[in-house]
Amino acid sequence: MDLPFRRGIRPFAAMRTLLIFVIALLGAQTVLAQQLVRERRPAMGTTVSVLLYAPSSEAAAPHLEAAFAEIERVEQLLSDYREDSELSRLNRATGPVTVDPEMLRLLNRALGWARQSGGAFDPTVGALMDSTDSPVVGWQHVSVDLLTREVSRLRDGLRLDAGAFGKGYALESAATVLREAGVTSALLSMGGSSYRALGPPPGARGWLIHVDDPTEGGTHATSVMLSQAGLSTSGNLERTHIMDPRTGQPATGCEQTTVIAPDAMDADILSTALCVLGPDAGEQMLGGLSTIRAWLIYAGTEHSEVRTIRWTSPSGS
Amino acid sequence: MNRRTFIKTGTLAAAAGPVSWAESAASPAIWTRRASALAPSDTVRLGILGAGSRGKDLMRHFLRSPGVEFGGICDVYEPRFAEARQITEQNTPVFEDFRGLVESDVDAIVVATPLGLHAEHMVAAVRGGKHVFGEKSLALTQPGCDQIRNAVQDSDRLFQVGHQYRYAGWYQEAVRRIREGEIGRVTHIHAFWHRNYNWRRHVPEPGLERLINWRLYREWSGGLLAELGSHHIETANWIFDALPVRAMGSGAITFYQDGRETYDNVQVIYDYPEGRKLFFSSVIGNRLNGFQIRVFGTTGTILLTLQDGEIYHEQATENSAIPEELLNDPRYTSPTLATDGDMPYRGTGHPIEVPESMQGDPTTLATAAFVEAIRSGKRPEADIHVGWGSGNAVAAGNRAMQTGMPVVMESAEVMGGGR
Repeated sequence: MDLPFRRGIRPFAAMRTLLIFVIALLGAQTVLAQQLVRERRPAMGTTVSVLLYAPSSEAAAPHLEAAFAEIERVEQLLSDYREDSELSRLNRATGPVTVDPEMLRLLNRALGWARQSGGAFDPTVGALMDSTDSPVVGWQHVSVDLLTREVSRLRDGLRLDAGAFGKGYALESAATVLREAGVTSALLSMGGSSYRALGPPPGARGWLIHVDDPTEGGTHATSVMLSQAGLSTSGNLERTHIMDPRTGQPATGCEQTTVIAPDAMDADILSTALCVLGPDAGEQMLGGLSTIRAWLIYAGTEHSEVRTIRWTSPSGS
Repeated sequence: MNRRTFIKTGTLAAAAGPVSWAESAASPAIWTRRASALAPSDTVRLGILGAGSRGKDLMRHFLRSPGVEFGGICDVYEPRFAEARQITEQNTPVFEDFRGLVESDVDAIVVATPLGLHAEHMVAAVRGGKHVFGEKSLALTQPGCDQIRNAVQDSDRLFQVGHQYRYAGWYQEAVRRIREGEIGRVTHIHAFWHRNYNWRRHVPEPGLERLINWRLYREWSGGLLAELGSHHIETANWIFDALPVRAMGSGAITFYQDGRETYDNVQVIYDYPEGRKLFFSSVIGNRLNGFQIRVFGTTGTILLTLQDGEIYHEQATENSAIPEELLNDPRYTSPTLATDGDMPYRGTGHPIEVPESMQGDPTTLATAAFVEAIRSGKRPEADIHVGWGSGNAVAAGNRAMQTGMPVVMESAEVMGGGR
């Protein structure tokens, strides 16, 4: 794990990122048989982008359709906007609700992260997001019975919300669809904050992703080569505000968190949790999670403070 | 009395007396629960016949009902077994031959095979003593539809067709308001399902083309009219409370001339009794219209989409088709719905509100209703007559397009019987 350091005092890191970028471009030029195909569509309240390499755009078309269909399926599962979504059915119910194994596993996993993060990530923040007078929040008040597949909300007014993991889960699911169809080189993204990469572009080490600097518009805080992993960025700037589920107040001190994880849903959840936890508790939480890498920017007393966790040896990124 | 006997007792009791088309179509969408044929704690074991994209989706929906498990997965394409087992997250038994699934101990079979196989599979399942949830459209041909209907009528088994919008809250509310006369006399319905993509699935190797892309070949598929239009036809049957008597149509492969056999440009008109019309259009080269059903009445219009509904009230004027008693009704004098001469109305309508008790995903509601029907022994709302009504019309519409000749349907003879 890296030691914390002040931003702008590590010229070596910047040089290394630039170097990888150049190598990736050289590699891409040698590719002849594969063509980059890109499609963007609105889904889940944002823009979804799929880039993949295929022999032709005609060959890519069924893969693109399958990927977007999967994202649409997950949206139907997790949307808090659509009253006919599965999550809305759970939130309407007055007693235990039987769910399918996928939803059971998904909620169980989300609740596991809530427990592990001490509630810094919480899938029951729905009422908090609604700005109601006395919102009921608390992952402990959700019961999941793995045998009967029943999910119960144990408090009136408690509302499940997939805002901090739905995009990551949708990207992960669509990536699985593409991989099972034989696609080896693809990058999926949502709204510029969540990514899931399959294999890299032909001849390259990864998909080059620039993470914007939250304090200086138009500049990059860091860049990564993403491959076979998910990446998610959370922050408290511009229109997005991360709420601390433990206090019901906006998380303070967090400027931007970027997390790379083997699974895009985990990346999504951890970027939120680390924003809420702050540098020390966040670093402690990631201590035993050897597959997770993070680039974190917190507000310091004079300067923004950057911490990186396993970021300097991003094998596969 | 064992559990199986309970089922038979329940279903026989419910089958007493024939049910006419009109009674069936107009029956209330929310059932009162009858004496239970299965204890609520009894597991309902289902088999999936055809675990492709729709079949797997149905499995997920069925597993949202309490006490449901899959006791068998049947497909001819081996990768589907692993995919379906991912959904059940169990080592569910698999069958390469549908007869194995029919002979297994499942209570009901969900048939989601290519359309050209529906008749063989659904008839075998019903005759094998299984309740059947059969995907739409009912069958590829009119004789195929008849075979399924006859098999169901000759049995004591329950049959539900995969027309999930029968269970959609906004559809039910729209139909209720139409029945109450809010848009006057419904004279015609314009229905669209327009998309902009080529309808092809990825094929891992060329030899699997007709298996994976069965929707593109006439041997197995009724094309856009069956896969998409059967929903619109079913809704028109429901709203008109009648079945079409004649189909006229024109279809072509206008753009995707890639070896496919089913049309990418489908335009069909159905005549209903008393001159009422359904016009259905489906293309896959332009998506402006999307999915919509526009129900035109003499005092208003209802628009149904895949997610919601809207109602528009015609502006009442002295010489319009609107009855005199409505001339001062604020709904029909609202300036917001006024148009400038014959310019089309371009504003929004009033949302069709759906009570919370009727909200939900239509497929989740439909699959839960089928499970409930098995437990209670009560005939499903989307029964064999609903399935026959749309399926027969689809088959006739396709014949009209393929021959270029109108096809007359003798709907009257279908009334009565069956479960």
